Amino acid sequence: MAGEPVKIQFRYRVIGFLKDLMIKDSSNFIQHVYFKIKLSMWWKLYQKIANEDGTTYICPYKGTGDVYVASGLLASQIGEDRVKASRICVIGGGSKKIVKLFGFEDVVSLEQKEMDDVVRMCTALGFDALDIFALHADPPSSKMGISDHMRNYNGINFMDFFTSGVFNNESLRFKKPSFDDCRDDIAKFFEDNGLIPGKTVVVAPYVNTLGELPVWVWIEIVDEFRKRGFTVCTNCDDKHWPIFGSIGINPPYSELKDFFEYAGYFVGSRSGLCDIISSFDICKVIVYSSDEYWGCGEIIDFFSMNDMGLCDDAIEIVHKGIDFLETKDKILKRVQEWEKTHRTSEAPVDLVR
Amino acid sequence: MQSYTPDTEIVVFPENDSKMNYYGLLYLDERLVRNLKKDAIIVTCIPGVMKSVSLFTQKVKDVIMVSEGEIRDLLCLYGVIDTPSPFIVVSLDSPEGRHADRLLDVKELTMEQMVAIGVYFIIPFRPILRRFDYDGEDPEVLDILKEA
Repeated sequence: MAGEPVKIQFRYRVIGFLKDLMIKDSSNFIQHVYFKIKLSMWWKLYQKIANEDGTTYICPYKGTGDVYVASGLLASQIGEDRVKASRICVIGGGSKKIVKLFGFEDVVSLEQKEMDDVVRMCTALGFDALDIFALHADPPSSKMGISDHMRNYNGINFMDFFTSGVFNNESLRFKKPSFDDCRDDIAKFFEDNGLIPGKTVVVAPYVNTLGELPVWVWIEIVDEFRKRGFTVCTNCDDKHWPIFGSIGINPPYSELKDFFEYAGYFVGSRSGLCDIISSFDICKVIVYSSDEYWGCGEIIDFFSMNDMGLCDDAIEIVHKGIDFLETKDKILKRVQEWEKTHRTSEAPVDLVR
Repeated sequence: MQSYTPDTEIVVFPENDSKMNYYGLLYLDERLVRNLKKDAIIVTCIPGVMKSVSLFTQKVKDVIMVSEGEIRDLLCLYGVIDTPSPFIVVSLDSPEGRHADRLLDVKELTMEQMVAIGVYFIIPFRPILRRFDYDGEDPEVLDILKEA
């Protein structure tokens, strides 16, 4: 029977678990009932996620960057042949789309609560015993993770966190994903919306985890670009407004490469989106806040895309305190410098007054 | 046995690793200060830890010796309960799912850093240099103090 090995595997672990914990203290009726309910819930969850043909991989944290980096390294670790057959569980539909960029086809989308329960089940019954591998050094619901605390010590960055902390393989290299070819659709979108190919800036002001600049700063940045002949888009979902003077866009992950390369420029606060666009051949300006600390360092120390090895051409700017106007000037100046070296056939656009 | 109060930190030493246990004891006082606790209760299956505690700190009000199996059960049971962490575990790979041992030696991260920063969350971290005047001959105590 197809489901038999998984069933046996789970039951074997549960019997061991019960033997260890409950039979010793079977007089405690409430404890007994509690575990019975818990185990039956876990069994249903296990049936939903278990891979009959091998390891089940789980992304227990739904951060875009975490899922992107973990998937790319996993694809590199297991090799192209095994990517299609591997089962990977993520939280929500957005993460599912990211994972699919790397060729994974067997992707199970869970709710946050279900994923937390998967982690608790594994903590109690054993990750190895259930043949489940966590693609995060510290699954949030495991409560006992300590790797997070080492951030930035001795230069440990976000990539080390995954290569060493998850895959135990310091030399593992990130595999870039593949994106859909949709240039015709993108060209039509640009035409329909009056966007200029190669002279459009995509701004990404909204982030989930790290610090962001106030909206008024983005309004000024957009305004400056428009004055100098650029058209501007804001990458935003339906919960956010496009920055005044720009067009709101939310292209699917699979179409990002063509869209951004057709536009030519990206300016955004550091977020998971920056990881995804890191390999694109465009002008990438990433703004890092210096007001938060990650371990013993700042955000840029841990999340620098250049230091992580995701790319070597990102323009990385650190924003300090209330120096919003200085940050705006820096962004414009760095874009102008980039233009001088990359747009040699045309006169650089004068961005700084 | 001394009783637990909200000002008490419960610290579990499950590993028979003298280097790890040495740093676990060395930085315990600092951990209590940073975590606003007055005292600690240690739960361990390692006799050397129990015998050495008084050389490192006077803030441990009780040491509970249990068997290896009981520690295993405690950590396993812990995974099932949906509450915040009730205790600290001085280990890099226990309870199940913790894999901080993978970071040891990466970019020269030391055991001292892994215990003080990782386990005890002592950030910012400054190494403690300390000499111990122990003139006894208990091999289990000497085993832990050899790391000094």
